[in-house]
Amino acid sequence: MSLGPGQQLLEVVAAVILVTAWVSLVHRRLDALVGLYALQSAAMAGVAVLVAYLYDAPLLYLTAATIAGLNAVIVPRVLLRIRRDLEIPGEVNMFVSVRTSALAGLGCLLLAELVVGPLTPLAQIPAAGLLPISVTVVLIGLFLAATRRKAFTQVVGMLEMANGVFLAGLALTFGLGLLLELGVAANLLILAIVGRLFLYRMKDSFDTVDADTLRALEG
Amino acid sequence: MTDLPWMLLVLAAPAISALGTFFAPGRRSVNAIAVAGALAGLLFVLFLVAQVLSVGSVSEPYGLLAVDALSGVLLLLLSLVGLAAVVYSVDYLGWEDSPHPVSLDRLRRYYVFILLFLFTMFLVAEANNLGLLWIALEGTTLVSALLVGFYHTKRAVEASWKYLVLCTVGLVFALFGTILLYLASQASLGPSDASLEWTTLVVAAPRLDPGLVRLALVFLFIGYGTKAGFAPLHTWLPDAHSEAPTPVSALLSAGLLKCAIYALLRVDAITLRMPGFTFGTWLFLGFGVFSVLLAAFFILVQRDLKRLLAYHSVEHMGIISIGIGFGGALGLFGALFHMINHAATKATLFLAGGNLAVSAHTKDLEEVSGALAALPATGTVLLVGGLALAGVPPFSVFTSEFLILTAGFSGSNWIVAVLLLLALAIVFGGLLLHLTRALLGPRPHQGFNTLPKRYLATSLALGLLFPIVVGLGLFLPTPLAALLHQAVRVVNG
Repeated sequence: MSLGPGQQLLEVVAAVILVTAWVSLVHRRLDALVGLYALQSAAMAGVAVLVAYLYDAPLLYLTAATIAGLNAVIVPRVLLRIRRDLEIPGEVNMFVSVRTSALAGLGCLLLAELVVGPLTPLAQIPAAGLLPISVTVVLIGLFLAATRRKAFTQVVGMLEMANGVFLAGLALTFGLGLLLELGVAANLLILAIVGRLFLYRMKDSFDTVDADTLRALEG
Repeated sequence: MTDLPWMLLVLAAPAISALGTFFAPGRRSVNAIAVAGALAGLLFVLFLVAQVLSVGSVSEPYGLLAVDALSGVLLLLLSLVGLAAVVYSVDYLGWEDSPHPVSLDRLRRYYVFILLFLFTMFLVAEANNLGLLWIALEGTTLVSALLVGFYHTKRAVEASWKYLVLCTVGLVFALFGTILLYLASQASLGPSDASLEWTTLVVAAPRLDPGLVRLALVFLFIGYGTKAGFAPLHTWLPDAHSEAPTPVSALLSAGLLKCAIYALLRVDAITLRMPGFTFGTWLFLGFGVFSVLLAAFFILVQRDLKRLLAYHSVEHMGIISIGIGFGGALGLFGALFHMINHAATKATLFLAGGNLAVSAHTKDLEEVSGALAALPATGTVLLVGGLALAGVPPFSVFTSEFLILTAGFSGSNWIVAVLLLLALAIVFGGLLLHLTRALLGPRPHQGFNTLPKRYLATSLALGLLFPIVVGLGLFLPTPLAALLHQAVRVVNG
C-alpha cells in the first residue's frame, strides 16, 4: 500500500522522535539532553497536528498545543533552571559506555519490532507503523533512566518514556479523549514539580544530585 | 441520577477537608477538620455501600465514575484505614508535645497531603474509565511521595526518590498497557465505539483480540505490579514503608497496595470473559508465588520493625494475587476477604508498632525486649496482631488464607498451593521468632522510659481496627458477606 504525502510526513516526524531518543543515549552534555527532549516534544506536537489533519480529529489540535507548550517549552525551561540553580555539572555520568548505550538503543528498536510486529489487528489501523517507534522510545527512556548516575538524567529518561507512550496514544487511538489527555498532562506537570522539589531536597541533604549516593537503604 | 450524591460526597469529604486544614488557624482546628473529613468519608462510604447492596451498582451519565460491589470492598477498607490513620496522626504529630511534633505550617501540609492521598485512592475505587483509573493511581504516587519524604532526613529523601522514580516508571508502562487495551477495543468495536470504560470493555471482552490484550497485560502487570509491591518489582516498598511517618506507612500498606491490585482485578474481570484466555491467571499466579517465596526469606533476616512489616506486605500481596489466580468463587472470595483482613491487621500492627518505637526509642527489633511487660496494651495488640498476621486461627487472616488454600487444593493448582503453604510456614516461623524476642523476652534495664503523654486518639485508632482483626475470623456480618459475594460476581461475571 502506497502512503500519501501526509502519511509520509507523519513517518518522517516520527523518525525525528526516534532519532532524538537514540542521540540522547550517546550525548554527554546535560543541556543537550534537555534540548533533545524539547525537540522530541516539538516533533510530538507535530505528530498530533498531522494525525488531527489526516484523520479528521480536531480535538487533537488542542492536544498538540498542550504538548508544544508544556513538553516542548515549559518543562525544558524548568529543567534548565534546576540545573543552573543546583549547579549540577554539565557532564552526563554514565554507568555504561557510550558505545554500549548506542548498541542498547539499537537493541531497543529490535526488541520493539519483535514484540509488536506480529500483532495482526494493527494492520487495520492506518498509523500502526508508529507503534514500534513508540515502544522503542519507551525502552530507550527506561535505559536512560537506569544507566545514568544523576537523578537529573533519570528525570529526563522518565519524561522521554512518557513521550513514547503519548506517541502510541496519539497515533494509534487518535487520542484517548480530551479530558483524559488533560489529566495525563496535568499529572506530568505535577511530576515535574514534585521531581524538582526532590532534586532540591537531595541537593540539600547530600550536597549532590548523584543518584549513586543513595545507598543507605538496602536489604 | 439519584445515586450520584453519595458517590460525589465520598470524593468531596477528603478534598474539602484538605482545603479546610490548609486554612485552619490553629492545631486544634487543623486536627479536628482532618478527623471530621476522614470520618465523613467513612460515613458516606457506608451509605454508598448500602446503596450498592440494594441496587447492584451506581454510576453517573458520563461514564467516568461508577461504583459496584468490587469498588465497595475497596472503598470500605480505604475509608476505615484512612480514618484510623488520620485519628492516629493527631497524637503522633498533631500537638506540640506529640512524639514527633512539627510546626503548625508543616502540620497543615501533612494533613493536606494525607487527605489528598485518601481522595486519590477513593477516585481509584470509583473510576469507571481505565484512563481515569491510571490518572488517579499516578496521583496517589505523587501525593504519597511527598508524605514518604515528609521528615526531610537523608533516608527519607532517598526512600521517596526511589519510590517516585520506580512507581512513575512502572506507571508509564501501565499507561502503555491502557493504550493497548483501548487499541484492542478499537480493533473490535470500531473507532467510533472504542472505549476505555470498564463497563463497555467487559461487554466487548469476548470480541477483543487476544494478542493485543496479552501485550497490554504484560505492560499493565509490570506497571501496576510495581505499585502493588509484587516481587521482583517491590524494591521501593520496604524503603518507603520504613521511612514514612507511621500513619502513612499504615495507609501505604493497607490502602495503596490494594488500589494497585484492584486495578489489576478490574482488568482481570475483562480478560476472564474472553473465551480460552488464561494469560492473566498465569501472571497472577507467577507474580504471587514469586512474591510470597521471596518475602518469606527476607522476613527471616529483617531487624527493623517497619521493614519487617513491609516485607509482610509483599508476602500478603502475593497471597491475594494467588487467590485471584486460583479464581472461581472460592479463590476470589478468599482474595477479596484477604484484602480487608490484611488491611486491618497490617494497619493495626503499623500503628501499634509506632507506639512501641516511640516508647523504646528504636525500630530495631534486636534492641527491643520485654515489650509486653513494659507496655501491656500495645504489647497485647502487637502480640495478637502478629499472630493474626502469621495466619494463626481463629483470626480473620487465617480464615481468608484457608479459603485461598482450599480453592488451590480443590482446583488443578495444587503445586502453587503447596508452594504457598511452604512460604506460609517459613513466615510463621520467622514472625514467631521476632515476636517472642521483642515482646516476651526479658525487660531491659533501659528503654521504655518514655510513655506517650497523649494516647486517646491512638487508642481510638487501634480500637477501630483491632475488633476487625479478631472479630472477622469468628463472625462475618451478613452485609459484608453479601458485598463480597456480589464483588465476586462482578469479577467472574
